[in-house]
Amino acid sequence: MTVRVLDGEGFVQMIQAGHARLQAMAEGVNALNVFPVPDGDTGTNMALSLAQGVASLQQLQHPRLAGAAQALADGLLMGARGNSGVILSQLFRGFAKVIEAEESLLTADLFARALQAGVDTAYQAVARPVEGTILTVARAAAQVGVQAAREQLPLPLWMKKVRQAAAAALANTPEQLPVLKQAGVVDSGGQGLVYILEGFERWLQGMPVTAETSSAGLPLSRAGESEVHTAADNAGQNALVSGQALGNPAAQARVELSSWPELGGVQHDSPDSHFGYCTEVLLRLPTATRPVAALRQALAALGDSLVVVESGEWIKAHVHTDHPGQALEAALQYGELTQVKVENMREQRRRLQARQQRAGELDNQLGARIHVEAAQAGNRPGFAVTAQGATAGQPLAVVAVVAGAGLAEAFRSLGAFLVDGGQTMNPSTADIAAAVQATGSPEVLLLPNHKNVVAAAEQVQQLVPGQRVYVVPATHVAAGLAALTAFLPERSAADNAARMTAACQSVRTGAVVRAARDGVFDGQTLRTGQFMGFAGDRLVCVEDQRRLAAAGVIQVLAASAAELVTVFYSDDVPPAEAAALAEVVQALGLALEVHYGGQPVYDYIFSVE
Amino acid sequence: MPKTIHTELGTVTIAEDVIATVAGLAAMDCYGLVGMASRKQVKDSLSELLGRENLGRGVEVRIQGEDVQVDLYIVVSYGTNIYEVAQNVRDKVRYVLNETVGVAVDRVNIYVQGVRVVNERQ
Repeated sequence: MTVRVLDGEGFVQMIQAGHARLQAMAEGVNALNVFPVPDGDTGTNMALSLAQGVASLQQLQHPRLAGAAQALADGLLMGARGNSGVILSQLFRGFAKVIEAEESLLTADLFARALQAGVDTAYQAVARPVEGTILTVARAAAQVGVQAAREQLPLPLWMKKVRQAAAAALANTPEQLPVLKQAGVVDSGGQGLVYILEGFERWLQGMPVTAETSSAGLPLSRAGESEVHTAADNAGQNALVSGQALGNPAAQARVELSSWPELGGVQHDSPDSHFGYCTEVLLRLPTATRPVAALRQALAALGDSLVVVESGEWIKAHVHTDHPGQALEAALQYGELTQVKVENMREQRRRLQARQQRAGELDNQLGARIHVEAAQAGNRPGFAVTAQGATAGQPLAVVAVVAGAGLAEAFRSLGAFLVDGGQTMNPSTADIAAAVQATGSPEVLLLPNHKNVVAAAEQVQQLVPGQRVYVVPATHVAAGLAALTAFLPERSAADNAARMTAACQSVRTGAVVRAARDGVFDGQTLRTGQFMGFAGDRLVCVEDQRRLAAAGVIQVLAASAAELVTVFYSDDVPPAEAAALAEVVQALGLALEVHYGGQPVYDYIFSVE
Repeated sequence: MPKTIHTELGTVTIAEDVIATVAGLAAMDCYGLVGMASRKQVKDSLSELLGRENLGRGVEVRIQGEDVQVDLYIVVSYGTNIYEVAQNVRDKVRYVLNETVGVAVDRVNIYVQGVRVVNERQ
């Protein structure tokens, strides 16, 4: 069946298909939202705006084309939410004007002219059009649409060309708007428009509309060279690397909200929180009321770990409570609930404990072999056995910045004082200084363990005039661990600093990370969920399977002289999979140590000596 | 009175004009806003006469101690959802001032002073 023209009924159904597609993908669009205000709501706003348009279409009894287009424009105007919603309403306002004047069936030719008129109208409603946004995408689509209409194509084929043009323009938006390029994303409003056009196209072709996979390749974000380096640092992790620990797409979107404090940073597995449910709400306030203080007070009575932040007409509140219902009711008194999330923290804790138990069992199984190998590999202390903590007041102490339960245990067992590296957050100079003071030692060696922490670490000396601080330039947690094994408390601080610096330079580090979204790095195309293998800061392989990426990294790291491979795996990796890396390592004739690291973001961390 | 931010290492003072200019630029990026309405005819016509763009045009900034208020006098495009455009302008201005100047604005008051009807068919 080839659709050549659309009548009013067909038009209504096509718009509904566009809306359905957008709605299905709204979370993904939210996650891209960095411009103009990174509040992670573009997809929701566009879908809600279009929902109003669809609602006014559904009120029509026997829709004629002109009436339908006008009803859509009216509904969109009333329902417009957010910048992209307003722009969408303008696109369809111009669209309706042309269709109203023609009073006929919708052909590719009329569609093209209406689309062009929509773009013209939309461009007139702004003082300074910003390129690299939904406007640019719409203009490119209309331009190609007008050209393609001359070829007398049937509507589905015409729409395919339009959608492709929109997708191509979308892929180019990071080149036009630097803020997108920095975040390694395409424009969110433009992406929303592409989804709407995709919905149109699928409906015209008689395909299912809301299926998750896209028919033709989705536009890739064109992250430039610069992102290759930031991929390994924290800013990059926020933007590019899936916070698997954060879980759902909403949480991912939350990471983008640089204007909000990171609510996800609240520890859910903290043993002292005895409340059962992590409850989060996003409130839209009716007018210029500012009930933050009142809301905070109301929620504080219900639980702990309370965070209430305000931005414009929005309030986001987070509380741990045994009565999520009461918390929601309390919030409801101050505004509309826009998003609600309730998680059972006891369940999360049980899962975490089960996982750690499994990891512990595996460590025991491997233990015998590991220690034999460790002995052969040299006089490396087996930190899996010594569980002594650091004692304050020694003449010389080591302070390390570490994230992840397993890694923290490793550092602690080697006698280091710890500063929590947090999930996505680097500790401040003051945090590190506090840990340095807590050692009570006149001389302190500092392991930043991340290149973003080095600068903060170097400032610490100024805050602790009574102590002498040596910063060992370990920029990776695996390098920091190697440095710590070289630490000899009976030697002088300066001697140790030199030894440890040499030790951390002697290891090569690597990591495996899951890609949070599509992108291009170093000329390699990535899709969401693929695994990136890094050797140092360099991307060396991209695989669909985590173990293949891990094997790829090990092979690169082991290419030159190597004896021992140490692997730390995260909560997301089944211990058996980590243990199976032994085959790869043995094939290379090397010794292997496998430990539970529990680190955030990175699925695997490697060091090769 | 300029906005002062006290830190341990010294004081940062930001003139009202700076806040007004940043707010004006941020607002101009907003979709649906087609211009700023002049509040100070003499100053603005003088700027025009001098061939300079007065970026703080249509923006008034009032600072009293910690309290920062911004008034924006805007012209919007006919056929847009004016309430929503005003909300978007307010969010954008708050966000940009907070991000780039480090000023937390207490209130952003929007005065829609005009609506421009753009000709629909060229």
